[in-house]
Amino acid sequence: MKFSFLLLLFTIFYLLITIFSYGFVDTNFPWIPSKFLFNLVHYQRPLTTMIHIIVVGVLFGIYGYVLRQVKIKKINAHQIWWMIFIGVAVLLFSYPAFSYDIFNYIATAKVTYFYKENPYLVMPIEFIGEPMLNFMHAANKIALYPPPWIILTAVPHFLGFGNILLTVFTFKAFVAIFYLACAWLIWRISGKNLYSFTFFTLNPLVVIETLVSGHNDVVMMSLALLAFYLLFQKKKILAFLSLLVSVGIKYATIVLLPLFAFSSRFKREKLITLSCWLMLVVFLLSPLREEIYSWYFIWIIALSALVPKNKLLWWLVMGFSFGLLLRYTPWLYFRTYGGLTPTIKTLTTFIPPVLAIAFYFLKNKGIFLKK
Amino acid sequence: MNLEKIKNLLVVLVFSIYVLPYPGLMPGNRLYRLKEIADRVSQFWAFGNFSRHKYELALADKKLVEAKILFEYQQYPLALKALTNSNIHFQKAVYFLGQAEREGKNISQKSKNFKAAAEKHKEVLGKLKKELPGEFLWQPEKKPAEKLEIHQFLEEAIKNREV
Repeated sequence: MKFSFLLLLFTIFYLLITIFSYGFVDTNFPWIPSKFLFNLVHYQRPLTTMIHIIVVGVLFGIYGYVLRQVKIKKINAHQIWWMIFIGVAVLLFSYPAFSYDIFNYIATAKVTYFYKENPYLVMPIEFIGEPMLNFMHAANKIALYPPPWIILTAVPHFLGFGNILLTVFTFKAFVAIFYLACAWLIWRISGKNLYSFTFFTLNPLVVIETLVSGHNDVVMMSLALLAFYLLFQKKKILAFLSLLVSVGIKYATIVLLPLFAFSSRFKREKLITLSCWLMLVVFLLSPLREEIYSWYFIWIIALSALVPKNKLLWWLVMGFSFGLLLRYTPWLYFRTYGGLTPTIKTLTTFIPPVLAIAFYFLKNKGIFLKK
Repeated sequence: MNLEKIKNLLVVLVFSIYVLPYPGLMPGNRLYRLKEIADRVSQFWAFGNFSRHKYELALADKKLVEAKILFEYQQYPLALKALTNSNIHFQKAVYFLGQAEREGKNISQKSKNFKAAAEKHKEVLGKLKKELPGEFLWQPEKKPAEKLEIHQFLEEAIKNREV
């Protein structure tokens, strides 16, 4: 396939995702751009579920194809960067369809900078008459993230000029900048390995949860990757500081601190691989706090991109990326978090990676031999 | 029973749901000073009028409970000191709620909660007034005796809580 044709298909597909995302606009959001899309998503649930499954399937199809083309050197770095920039430019304008977290980021920033209250003591729900309360979830929670994240959100908050729609896009743009930072760091740390670069940047889970939903996990991981970059440059103190700031975004990377303290005992690849496994443990333990959220897996994808030769991790990432994106399907179909939804969510999350790992081990045993 | 009486009964029922906190370390304890320092430091964490109102009300509640327990153990000077501190924090809570209103924040829910707190405080103070002597001659070992006007303190505290 010619690259220009691939790029055109890619752009059109991302545009369709962007358009489709506006069907998920909350009933009480001050702007509903399309009644048709709204009705489709809210009232045509089987069709919406099918569209979601097709979107995930096509995204993985493109991802697999591009990775293959990169492996056989049919696509170059310049072309991948084009895909990334188009992805950012198009999906920046999508509505955060699958998560309300971005509204919590916005609300916490508003509590801090507009109402000038301590977000760790005052919840958004305490501001009676606040328009965001009509459509945000979890308004009865104090700030979940440490102070460095709250401080960083000042930038998109003030650039939003008090307009909720503009603020949604400034927050998404802010997260997109860190997505690009992650991409650049993976490029540098991997020694300009295009496969590693593509593995992360075009991963459908990363694309959807970062560029569509606007989660801040890439912010945390970009600082963690910066810590690795500085560590490999023998700048240990700066590396530690970067890692501490990373912990100050979302806490999860705290498990990497002991590894950094004893980093001299490990070779580069071993250090990164151990980090992947540690972050995977944190990911699997997340039900102890609340539940497994698909965007948490970005932590593992970002690190495993740096060790592409580790086939076990590769299959695990592929399996989980696919399963975690399908995790939304029961909610899309049933529109409830109760009933069968939790069971189906668990099945869709774990069956793909279990199958992927099974395939890996069977392949290793020579059961699936190449002709 | 007419509507007004039913309303008042409901208000009393709602107000009595307000729960005072467990006070933790008590005045007289060697570590109490550390607790006071921690409370002072956490004042800087409570920036913003809503935060500060909550902080001051929490301290007013805590000091009131300290006073109540100290009265029960007949530690009257410490109890009166705790009660005075509770009054100060309560007035500060009123001030910061007013400041929040001047900022344009809707304080209707906070006002309801604050009224409930005030009623609870008055309930506790009223009970103490019935149980405690009007005045008490406090005779420490190495200091001159001191007459403590307990009911006067309690009446001032009740007046302080008229919101």
